[in-house]
Amino acid sequence: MLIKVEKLTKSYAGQTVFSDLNLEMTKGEIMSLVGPSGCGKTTFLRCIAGLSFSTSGSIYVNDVNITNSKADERPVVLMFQQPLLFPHLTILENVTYGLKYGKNKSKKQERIERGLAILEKVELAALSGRYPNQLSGGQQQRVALARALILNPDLLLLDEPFSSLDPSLRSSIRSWVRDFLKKEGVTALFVTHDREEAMMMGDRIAVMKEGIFQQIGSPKDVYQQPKSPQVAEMFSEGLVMEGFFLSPDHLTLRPKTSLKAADTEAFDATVEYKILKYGHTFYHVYVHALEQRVVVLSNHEFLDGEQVELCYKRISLQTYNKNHPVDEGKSSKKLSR
Amino acid sequence: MTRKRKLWMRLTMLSLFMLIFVAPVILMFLKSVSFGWSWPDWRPTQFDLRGWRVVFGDPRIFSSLWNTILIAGVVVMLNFIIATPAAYALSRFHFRGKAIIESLLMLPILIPVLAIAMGLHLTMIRLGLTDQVLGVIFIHLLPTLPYAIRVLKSGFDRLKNEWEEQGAVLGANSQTVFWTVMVPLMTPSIRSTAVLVFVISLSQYVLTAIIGGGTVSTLPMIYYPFFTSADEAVIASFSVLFALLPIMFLILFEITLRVYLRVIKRP
Repeated sequence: MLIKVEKLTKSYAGQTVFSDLNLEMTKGEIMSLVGPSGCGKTTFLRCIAGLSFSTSGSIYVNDVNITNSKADERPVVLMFQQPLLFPHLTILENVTYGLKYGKNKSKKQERIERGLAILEKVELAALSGRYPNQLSGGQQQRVALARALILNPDLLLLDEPFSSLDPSLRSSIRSWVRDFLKKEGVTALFVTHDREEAMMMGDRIAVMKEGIFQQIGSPKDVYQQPKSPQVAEMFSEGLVMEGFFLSPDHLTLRPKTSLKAADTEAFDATVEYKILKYGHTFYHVYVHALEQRVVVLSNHEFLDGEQVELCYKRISLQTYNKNHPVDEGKSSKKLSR
Repeated sequence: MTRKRKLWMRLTMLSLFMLIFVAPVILMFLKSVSFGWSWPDWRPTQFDLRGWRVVFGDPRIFSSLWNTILIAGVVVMLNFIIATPAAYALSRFHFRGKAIIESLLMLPILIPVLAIAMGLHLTMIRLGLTDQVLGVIFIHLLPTLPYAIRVLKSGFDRLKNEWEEQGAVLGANSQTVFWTVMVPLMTPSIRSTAVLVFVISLSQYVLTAIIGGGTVSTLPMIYYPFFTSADEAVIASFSVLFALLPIMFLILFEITLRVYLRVIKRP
């Protein structure tokens, strides 16, 4: 294991920020850490970077215990929300900062060559003599990425690095960053509160809430088989019930008058509005019994405000812990309210 | 129409600026090199360097000029050495009694300086620091340090912690980060602190007189007595000389800062 976090706990002023966090990452893996704001994900990242210290537990990088090392001694680089390019330095000088003032100082000629090489990779070599304020937000974030990666860190930490960019730029730069990290074989831990971004960036996803990892798994697993109602509410788009979960791919809409198939159950629902996306019509419906909203794809035409039935096969109901389909008798009893 | 109005606005502003800030300086300079320029002449009728000859004819002028520059220079340096850690701590750390300490540090400029100086005079006599340059340097810290700490503290307040953290995660230790990131980002505060302290030290009369006991002569010591004279040319010459010192200092300081940044910046 390249990265191993064991029972990491942090409390501050008598309050637990996070507790007993375990995490393992292999080389070249990108892990998304997703959770609502204030769940402790940024503090967790800062503890790994050495900007904040844990109360107990340990962090290993390449089997070396770095739990008590200072930030500048760790083989870990953190990218902040803001690019934080040093305004008094040019782009090239910014990128070579870590090579000049870090632990392993390299020769001037080598620094410049490596700086220009990495700027070439982030497609900004032409701007090497400019100052940060002459660059756009996206360009600045790319320089910040180059400045971090020139140090060949064992682990790159990203703390919502795209949140300061405007939406259209954000989606283009994040796919660019993902491709870049994959191409360079960088191991990265990526923090975000955006579900879509987490799914897009991460090979695996860790869902964090109230200071603990609720679930760690591939985006598909977490999306389709959430381990707890919290994960389901935060990460999935299905229907969350006490004890059960309905994945959105098992939901269908039909007009209220239709007949009921033997193996199918239905909720009464109201169409709130529809949107057209990717060539399909998606209906936002409100499920009265659960007081929840859900988005369902349908080929039928429905009107806004129309009463509909939201159907699912009994077999597709799943529990949180074991993630297998529920036996029929139990589910119908539970839902017969 | 609006364009014409804008032009007028600009012209008015410019002439007001010239009238208030630039004209007096020019007037003072002209006064120092003119002879008997008085009402109703609208311009000097005769030029004469007599004012300047009197100033530089004073046997103490060069030694007091040197003293003034030496004292102010050392006071500026000491201010940075003492105020920077204090300002940093006040800006970055939160501790009990912080507000009290902050107001205590402001006391020297809230309480009349004379009251403090009288008491300090006795202490300094006991320590044997009176009547010499060192004592004067120490006493000049009194009216300057509160300002230096204030200005530098707000400078640190303005710079968020993130800059230091960014330097640290890139592998630079805290000292390196301070010299290569914090100092360059703090230049506006450093510049104003330096000039402010220099000017305050330059214009000390009473404190220098009490602690220096007349043996340490600085520019104000020979400048103020001339106020009683009616010779406007001499006073004007002195004033111009006085005004030149901070300007020269600022230029020198700016050059030093630029050189420093150059050195830091080499990739």
